[in-house]
Amino acid sequence: MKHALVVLAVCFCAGIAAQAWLRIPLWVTYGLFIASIAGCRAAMSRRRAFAGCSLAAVALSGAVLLSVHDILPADHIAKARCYLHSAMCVIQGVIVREPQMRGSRTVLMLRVQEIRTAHLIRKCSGSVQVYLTGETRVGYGDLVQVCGRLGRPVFAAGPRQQAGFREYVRREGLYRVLYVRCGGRVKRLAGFHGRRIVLLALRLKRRMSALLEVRVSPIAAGMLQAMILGEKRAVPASLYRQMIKTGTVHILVVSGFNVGIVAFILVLVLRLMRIPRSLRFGCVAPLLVLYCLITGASPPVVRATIMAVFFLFALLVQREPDILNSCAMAALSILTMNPRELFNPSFQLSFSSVLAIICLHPRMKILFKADKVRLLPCRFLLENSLISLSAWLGTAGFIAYYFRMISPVAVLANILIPSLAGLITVCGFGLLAAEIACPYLAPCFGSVSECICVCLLKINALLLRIPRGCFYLQ
Amino acid sequence: MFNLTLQERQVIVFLLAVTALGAGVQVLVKHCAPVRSALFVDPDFGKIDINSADQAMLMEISGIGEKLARRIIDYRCAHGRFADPGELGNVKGLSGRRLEKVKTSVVAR
Repeated sequence: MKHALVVLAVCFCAGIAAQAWLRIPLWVTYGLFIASIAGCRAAMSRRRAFAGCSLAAVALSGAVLLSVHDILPADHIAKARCYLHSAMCVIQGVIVREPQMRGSRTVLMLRVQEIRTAHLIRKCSGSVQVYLTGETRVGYGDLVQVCGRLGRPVFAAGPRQQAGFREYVRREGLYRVLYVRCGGRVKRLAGFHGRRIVLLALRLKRRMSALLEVRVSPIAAGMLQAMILGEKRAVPASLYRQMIKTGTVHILVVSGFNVGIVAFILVLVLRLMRIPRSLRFGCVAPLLVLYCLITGASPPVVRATIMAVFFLFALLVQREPDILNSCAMAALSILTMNPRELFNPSFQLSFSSVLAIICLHPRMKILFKADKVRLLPCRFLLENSLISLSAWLGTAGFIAYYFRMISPVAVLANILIPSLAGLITVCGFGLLAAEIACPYLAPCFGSVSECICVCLLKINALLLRIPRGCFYLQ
Repeated sequence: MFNLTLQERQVIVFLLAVTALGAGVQVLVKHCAPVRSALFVDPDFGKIDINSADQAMLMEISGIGEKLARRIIDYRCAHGRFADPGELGNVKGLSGRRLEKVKTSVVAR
């Protein structure tokens, strides 16, 4: 079978989805999983029976992994109910993400090691999100002690949003939050407890962000940071809303396209340096992983990085790369790490758009006879439109479900805007490369990026004026 | 020289074209000030003008609901145009953290 991995990934996803909805007890799914493995062993000589048993085993493995993921260890902080709403407690833990400023508050993510109240000290596991009034001088990998009030995460909204928030809490493992009133209640202890590669990625990200801010205006810098570094904090909320309405907000995230550009640039540079083919591919893969860490390892980037690494590996061993199989491998890798990612809108939108482009675009090209268009600009425009239409068809259902919105103008917007966004991304990478290699060229790249940003924003504002271009569902 | 594919040659031409275009833009910006406003992103781009926005537009701002939007319009009718976004603090129900948040999404033209 040519697309064996695709079948396996579909079965695995089906197992996870079935377990999430049916909530079968673990001992039942586990028993069936063992039975299906025994069935595989017994049906070794019969092809069809073996295929059936192995597919059932893969589906059941998905169900078992989801159940195991949802079980919290005995010492998990979510199980320590006695600390909830107690006067004050001190939590000792390691900061596992870069601290973020949200308005006047700093948000830290701690991997808990120990919890102390007035009466007892207890070893704990799990994660806690810390909301701290004011700023603090701690960073990724620091071991800290934070004093505050422990509580459950609260999200005040309708029942629909509540369900989404509950899913988010389970997916991220964020069952508890700690509210701290002033920065002085965070005490840094000795030593670095994070991963050196992540620290390197964060430092590179900060440095690159600063370089972008120097060369272009604040809004353009915010857009470039979102497109290149996956950092959306500097994008104004109003601009973000406008892009949601035209269905082009996906350009403000790092996606497979960006990973493709990085891979292409790296391969090109190494090729110009006359580095042998095998070594070239060997160098590009770790650099892509570093880029994935710089951008925060969101599902689309992880998907694209895994796909790119498999693609490079296939080229290295001189096998024909298959895009569907690499996509399936990426899905399996992400879901094995965290099966709840299947319910993450980011995961669903990323895979649905890629699959729609892979499956629908070739058929649409035949239907609209794109290859027969002689004039090159017309063919380019038609092909872009078909890619945009395929992606829109693939994601329309999810967008209507999550955003309660249908945006017909998105088809038109996605013909024009992603091409400009691609140019901005390329110029942004060029700007960063120029800052390192030849700073005299950096202003040129900065100016071009700025001009294209202006064009993109003006086109987006124009499209928003189209009547009935976007409407909300009841 | 280099054994480059057609695609790679296209990339090199693109990079050179960007450099040339960028240099041209730099020259234009330095010699002709009005071009600057056309070629650079306005810092207030996308912000809602509190002096002309209707209730629906005001409700698009995060932190402003139906009642608050109505109050802003009433205040505008009673006291005239807002001189700057900080004046929103005079509207009942808009103060502290919410005001700071709203101020980042609006402009008074």
